[in-house]
Amino acid sequence: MVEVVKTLPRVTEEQKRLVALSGNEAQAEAMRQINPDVVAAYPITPQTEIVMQFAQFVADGKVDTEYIPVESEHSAMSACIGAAAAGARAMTATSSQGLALMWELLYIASGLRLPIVMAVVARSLSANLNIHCDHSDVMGARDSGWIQIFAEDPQEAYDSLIQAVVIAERARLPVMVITDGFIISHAVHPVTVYPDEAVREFIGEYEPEVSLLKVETPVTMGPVDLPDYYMEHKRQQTEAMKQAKQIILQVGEEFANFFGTKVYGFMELESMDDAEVAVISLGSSCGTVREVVRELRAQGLKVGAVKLRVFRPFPRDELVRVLAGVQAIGVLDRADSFSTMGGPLFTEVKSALYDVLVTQRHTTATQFIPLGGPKVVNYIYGLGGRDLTNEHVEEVFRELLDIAAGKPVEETWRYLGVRE
Amino acid sequence: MSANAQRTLIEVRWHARAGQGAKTAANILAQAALREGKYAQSFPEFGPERRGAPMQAFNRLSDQPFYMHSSITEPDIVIVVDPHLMDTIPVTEGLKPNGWIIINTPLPPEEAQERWELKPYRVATVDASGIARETLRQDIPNVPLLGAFARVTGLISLETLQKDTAQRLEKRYRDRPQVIEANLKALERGYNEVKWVEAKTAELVARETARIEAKGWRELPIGGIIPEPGTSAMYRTGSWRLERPIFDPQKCVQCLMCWLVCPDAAIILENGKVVGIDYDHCKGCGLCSLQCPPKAKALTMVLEAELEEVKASR
Repeated sequence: MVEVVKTLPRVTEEQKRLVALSGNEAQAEAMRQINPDVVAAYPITPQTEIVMQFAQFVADGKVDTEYIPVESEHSAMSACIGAAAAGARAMTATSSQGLALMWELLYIASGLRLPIVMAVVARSLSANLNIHCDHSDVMGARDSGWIQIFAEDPQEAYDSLIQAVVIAERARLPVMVITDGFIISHAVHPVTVYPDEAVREFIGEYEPEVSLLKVETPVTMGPVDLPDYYMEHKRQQTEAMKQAKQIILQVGEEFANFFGTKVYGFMELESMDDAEVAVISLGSSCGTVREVVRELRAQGLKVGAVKLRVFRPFPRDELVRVLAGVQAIGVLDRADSFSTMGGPLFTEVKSALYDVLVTQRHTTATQFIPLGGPKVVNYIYGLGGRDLTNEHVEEVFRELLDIAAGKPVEETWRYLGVRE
Repeated sequence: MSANAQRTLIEVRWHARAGQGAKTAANILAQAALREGKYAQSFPEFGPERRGAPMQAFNRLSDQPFYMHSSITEPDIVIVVDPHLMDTIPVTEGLKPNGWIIINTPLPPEEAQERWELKPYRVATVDASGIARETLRQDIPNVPLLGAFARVTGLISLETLQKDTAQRLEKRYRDRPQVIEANLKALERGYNEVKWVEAKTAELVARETARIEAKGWRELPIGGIIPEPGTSAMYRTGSWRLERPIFDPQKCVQCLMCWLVCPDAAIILENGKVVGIDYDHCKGCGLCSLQCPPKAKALTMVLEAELEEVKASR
């Protein structure tokens, strides 16, 4: 069952510090304040500065964490699983090939229902060797049973990582907080940082319901699970994801009450109230899209944007309520699925809208929905660090407006900013 | 009437222990059926167990094409490769009334039908292990059982089985034609020596099965944990045993080597001394007997089958 929202004292403005931090530094700072029991990480490329900085905190005695530098990301996640199973608050960070190497362990972490929190800096996957921003790595992990939260900037990365600890422990699911490689990870932004005591009070002490080190109540974890039980456990996992939606909203609200921030939820809307066309995207590109929406609004164009913060669990109903009244939707994907029918966000959005397209069950009270529902078009952009400019986004909005005015869509997915 | 309704589909379930060749026998049967222009499937059921653990294999046979890939729960024919499973496994579960049960046992079919309460079924018995020992020089009862299957069901001819077996063994035993001949002989003897009786009643006997009602996902512990210790003791792996260690306390020198090497903690100690074997969990691996000092010889391995025979003759 989901806990009741706690009412906690608010942190005053005087207690906060405004500092210039990169995405990596902001997350390392959050980890220092969280002071996890165990951090296991692979310390070499493609590791991020998050772990480098955290290792420094360990060396300087600023945290009580048991830091385990392991020989691969596969081992990093294995060590986190072992630590979490033993009842520890375990964290790690990775990126790109490192996340890919963790793949089989991701499923074990979620299958064992261990609340591991991981900072993921989203970067492309080889080949060819690239290292730049891209969502191919995290999209490869989208069905691994982890909660996936995308942060637009270093502030959101800092806030979300603190929230992730509470979400993970309440939902008994692992959480990854995702920032865009280089664009956010290495870019310095103003970040409001809260006092250490306040962060520690917010996350509280971790008291696992079961753990291997509770010798008075011994348990076996990860036993063989044959056809007669395995499916029930998967059904439990999907139920936990369903319950996690409520938990994510509650923690967002508690966080806002406590630290005096905006209320973090599944998504953030820009000018969606009367938008005729809208763009939906993940991560840092949401900021660029917001800029363009404001420019075009100044020109009197009815455009809007949806920043999707939570990709897993996918907030289907909430998203449909927002998008159902729009005439044309552009979905920006920073990863291709190679299905030849678009990127991963596109297929999710379109699938969520299917009932609207076909039966128009999700009507909103104030808006007229044209027969057939919104047109949905996919734009695959920014692969391997390719820049997404304001001009690109404006091009998308112009095309969506044309589509809304009756221009035939033809193929529903296309690459944005690629040389023909 | 649909094509499916017109189709005759025969479903077969093999009960054996892992390592007795039931999977191979099911494969041979499917192959032989294909050779006769029939449609056939053969598939085993796999668990985590090893050699000696009770296992099942399945066949589907038909003269018409079929496409299902589901498991078999209501077989027409049951073949029991290891007779000791008759007392430990509900081998007749789901078997249709008047279905065949073919058992590897020297018992005459009337006696088997009586002893194991098989009145609603047609019961066939053949001493497949005995035949195998005489012809193949080892206990591989699957070959004579296939011969018996051909005879009582008429679903496949002995000639096809023999042709198939010969072809299968040809490459491997080119230099030892006597091996191929022995296999053909085993098939033929199974075919000739099987005896059977008709069903005595049309009504199925309701059997009490000690089945635990499995919990739904809402009730099961989160994450598949097992929330209590020592539950593996509930798994009676003693049924996997083909050989049994017999302990002679008079000869035992109490070196405790057996206790040290037993992988299943099945050596029972009292006040630091070996007093016996936990047959509920001993899998019959024989490590204890191997480790027992040759001068002491306090642990000797005896075939379970022979133990039964000794009991029966008394």
